[in-house]
Amino acid sequence: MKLFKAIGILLIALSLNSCEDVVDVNIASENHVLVVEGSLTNLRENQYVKLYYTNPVLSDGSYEVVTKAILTLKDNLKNVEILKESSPGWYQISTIKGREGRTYTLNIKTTDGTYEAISTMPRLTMTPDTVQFKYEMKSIVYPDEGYYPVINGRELEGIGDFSQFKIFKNNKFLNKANEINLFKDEYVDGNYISNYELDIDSAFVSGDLIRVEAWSLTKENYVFWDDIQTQLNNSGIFATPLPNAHSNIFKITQESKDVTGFFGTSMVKSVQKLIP
Amino acid sequence: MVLYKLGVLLILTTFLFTPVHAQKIITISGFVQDARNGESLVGTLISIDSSHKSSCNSYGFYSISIPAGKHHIQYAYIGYQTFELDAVFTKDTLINAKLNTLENLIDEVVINVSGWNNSNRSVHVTPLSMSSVKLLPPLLGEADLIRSFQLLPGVSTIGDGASGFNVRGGGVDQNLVLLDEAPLYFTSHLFNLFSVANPDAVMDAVLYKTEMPARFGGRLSSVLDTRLKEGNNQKWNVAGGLGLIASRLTIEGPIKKDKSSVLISGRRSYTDVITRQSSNTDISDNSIYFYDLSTKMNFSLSNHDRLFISGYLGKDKIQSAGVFMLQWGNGTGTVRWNHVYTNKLFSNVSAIYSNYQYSLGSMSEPTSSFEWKAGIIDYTLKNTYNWYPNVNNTIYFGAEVALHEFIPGNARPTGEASIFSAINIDGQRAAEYNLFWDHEIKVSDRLSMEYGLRMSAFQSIAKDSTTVSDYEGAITERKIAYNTQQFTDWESMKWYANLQPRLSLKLQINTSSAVKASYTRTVQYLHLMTNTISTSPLDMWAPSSYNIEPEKADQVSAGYFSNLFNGKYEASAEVYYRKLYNQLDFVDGAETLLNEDLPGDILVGQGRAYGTEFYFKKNEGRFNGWISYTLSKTERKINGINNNAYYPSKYDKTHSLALVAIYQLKPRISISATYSFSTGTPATLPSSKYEFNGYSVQYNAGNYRNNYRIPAYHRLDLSATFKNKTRPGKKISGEWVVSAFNALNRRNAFSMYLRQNESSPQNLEAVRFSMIGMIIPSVTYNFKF
Repeated sequence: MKLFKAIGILLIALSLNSCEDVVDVNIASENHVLVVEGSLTNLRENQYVKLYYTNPVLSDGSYEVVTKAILTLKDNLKNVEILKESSPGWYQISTIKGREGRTYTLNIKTTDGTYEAISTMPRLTMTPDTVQFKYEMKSIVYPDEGYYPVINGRELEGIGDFSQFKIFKNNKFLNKANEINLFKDEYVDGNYISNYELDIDSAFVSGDLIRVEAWSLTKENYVFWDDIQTQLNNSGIFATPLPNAHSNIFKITQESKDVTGFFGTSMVKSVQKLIP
Repeated sequence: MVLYKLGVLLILTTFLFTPVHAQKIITISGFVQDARNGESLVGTLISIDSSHKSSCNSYGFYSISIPAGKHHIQYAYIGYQTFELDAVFTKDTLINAKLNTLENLIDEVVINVSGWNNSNRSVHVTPLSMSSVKLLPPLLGEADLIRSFQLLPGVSTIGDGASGFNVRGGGVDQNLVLLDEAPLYFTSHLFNLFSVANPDAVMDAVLYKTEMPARFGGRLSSVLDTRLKEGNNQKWNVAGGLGLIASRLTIEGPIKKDKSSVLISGRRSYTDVITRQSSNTDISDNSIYFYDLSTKMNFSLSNHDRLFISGYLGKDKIQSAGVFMLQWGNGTGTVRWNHVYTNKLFSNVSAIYSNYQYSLGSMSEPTSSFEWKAGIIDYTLKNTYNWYPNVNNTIYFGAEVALHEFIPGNARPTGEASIFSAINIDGQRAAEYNLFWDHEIKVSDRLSMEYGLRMSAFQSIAKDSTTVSDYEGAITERKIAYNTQQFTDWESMKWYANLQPRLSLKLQINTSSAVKASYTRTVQYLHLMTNTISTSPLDMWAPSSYNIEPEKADQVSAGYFSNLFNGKYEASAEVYYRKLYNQLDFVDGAETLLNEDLPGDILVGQGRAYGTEFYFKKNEGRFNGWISYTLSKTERKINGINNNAYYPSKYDKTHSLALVAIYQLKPRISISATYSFSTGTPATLPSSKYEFNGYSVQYNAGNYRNNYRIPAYHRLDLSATFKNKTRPGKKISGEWVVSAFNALNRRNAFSMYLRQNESSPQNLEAVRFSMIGMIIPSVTYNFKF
């Protein structure tokens, strides 16, 4: 939220030369854990579920993939598909389509154990009609002078809608900690929302192409992203204890080893605009 | 011992040199005041024939019953000339004693006087004189009461910039901070840099951490009892200070000489003026300031009646032009009436009001503008009696009722264009009923004890229409409301009642040393809803209610207290063990603000804290100061956190050492230094990570809490005070205080966490965050006339 960001910046600016220094920490390594990263959308492109193992937190090496797992995806209309491992650790969804309101169950069998994730494709609210820009000078809220995106859209009646806006600048996904744009309708249910500001790390300039993808999220998926956002922005004197990102992958058998990650189902719609 | 008679006013109702009847018991009572300004000298030690000892209550009243006859009476108070009197007493006698301060400049740094010693009283309090607080190195020129208390054993803080203080493993919200009996709910200015009490307006502050007498209650860990000055009833004077970021001014004087007085003390920061000068618009667009105003009036209505009216108003306001505005503030008011019914029975009636409120407004965008307000308001009525039946018994008893009103949050859109809908979290009320009884008994010359009982009842009451629910769900997850019930305005929702016994024993081993032991049970009905490292001004207080049970604690403590070399030095060693029940924490990702279903996010567990504290103090001479060392452990065991196993609490510090040295270099120059060392506080760091849609996700395999320690903390502060020459005939006196806070220029870690690497956001790096990143020099000019 912009407001808290502004308070944070102000605090830092006024505090007594408070500072962050990168330090070495000797973090004990734990056994690696299976990660499930997957999503099913209404888009026509190929969709995947990836399986791999966690890395020590400060390593920047590549992840060890999990091959030869058996992944079964089914929906509540009794469509079933066994996912094909198209490349090591990548399991492709080919026949099952993402449709609003359907419930999908992903079953995973690996040498670590048997797991399951269930997700119902949520409706997409606050679908952006348009993306616009406003020109802002450098200030406490805006890191530099330039263009900042705002979107307009109708929030659908009925509380409990969640979504994420993913921003692409010249087709490059913006993945800074302060560029996770999550939306919930808790306080704005059913309103037409205009000039909704999206958080970005640095301003757009003339000639940039922006694409905003709106992804509908289940409540669980929203919480998962909210946890990631908390993890990455949890600094200063008002930090909260580090949360684990809430996973929706559950063990089916008791002897299964630990698992984390998320299998999400989202309706996606995008808008784009070239800044003149 | 020198006999000081100057400046002493005696009102002896009867003073007859007649033969004494040995069996007759007479009572000597009265008030003890500062001769210069009429301030009550709370805690003055009165000893009769060096054996019977008593001390003044918090209004300066004392009463001692002794056999009639010839007696030697001595009044001793920190920093004052001891007054001694030899006389033959045959009847009840009223002695209002007025003590003079030690005039000599060198003596002004004498923090203690012999006769006042740490082995005297059965209930152990930790006093810190305001004169020593003002001699310690300040941060940005502002002497700070709470920061000074953190130099005492058993008192600590999470780090620079964290608000409040921690006592023996208790949370910041487990301390009762009283300003003239009114509770303060957030004790810091400028987020957490300064504490709210203006030292110029404070007469004395006492911390109860070992034992809490039954007349105090409502918090688990400690009571910081702060009293405002009463105001000079002899002559008008003005004192003030000009600092780098704030200035202070205090005016006090008699309304009617000897009978009534008034004090007004204000402090305001000019941080907003400073930020406006900045060429950087990031800073100059913003304003941040605080002020506080303390006032007190006192009226001596008769020899038996005194009336005190005091008020405090403190406010912080932070504004970024057109973007947001945040303000918070405490307001308190206390009216007290002292009445001496008989020379053995003293009564005080207090009506107390306290109000803590904040508001947060966003106006950066017409579409997202809103204003949000929250707060807590208290109304308290209290009647306390001090009864002095005979020299071996003193009894404190009374009753207290309080009504709390909670405004957990109302947010409303400002302007037509705002997309927000209004949010109203149900308010609540609570009523608290307390009866208390403390009995100090001198069992023999060697053994004395104080036992007490606080009976408390707490009623959770609906405000307007209040909805409560039960909550169900997995222990580590947010729970879902069910079985919702509606209560109407003023309807009683839940009752809690508790007995809180208190006991302390003192065994005098010889004239200079004693062993003390105590047991204290405390119950806390108000809870601060916070899950951040430091508490913030936005954190809300919530009452024990349908879903939240009262917090409880049991503490046992024992210690050895000694005065060495005739009181020149004092030393103590204490051990304690505290067990805490119904401690609150929150599920990961809990939303503690504007959350209707907050009870669904609460986790409950227990805690334990134990440790040993050492204290050595040099009381007298040009060079004085103290060393305090605490070895302790404080842990929590919360269902749903750390796999339900014990883990170190966020303020656990194994070692904590403080050295304080004050040296009177020349009659007009004094220097002081404080050094603090402590083990780093715990931090939760993840063991592993994975990458999800281009973001690194941290994974804490094993779900550990507080599994790491941030680096150890060292801080050296220095300060020097130069007093101006006082010119004969001129009333004005002044002094310069030059200080260096964090003189070692260290970047002490406040916390540690991981963040994205700037150039490759999919990778993480470990970061040490320091609130104070450099040496902070300051200059202050203080004046008095």
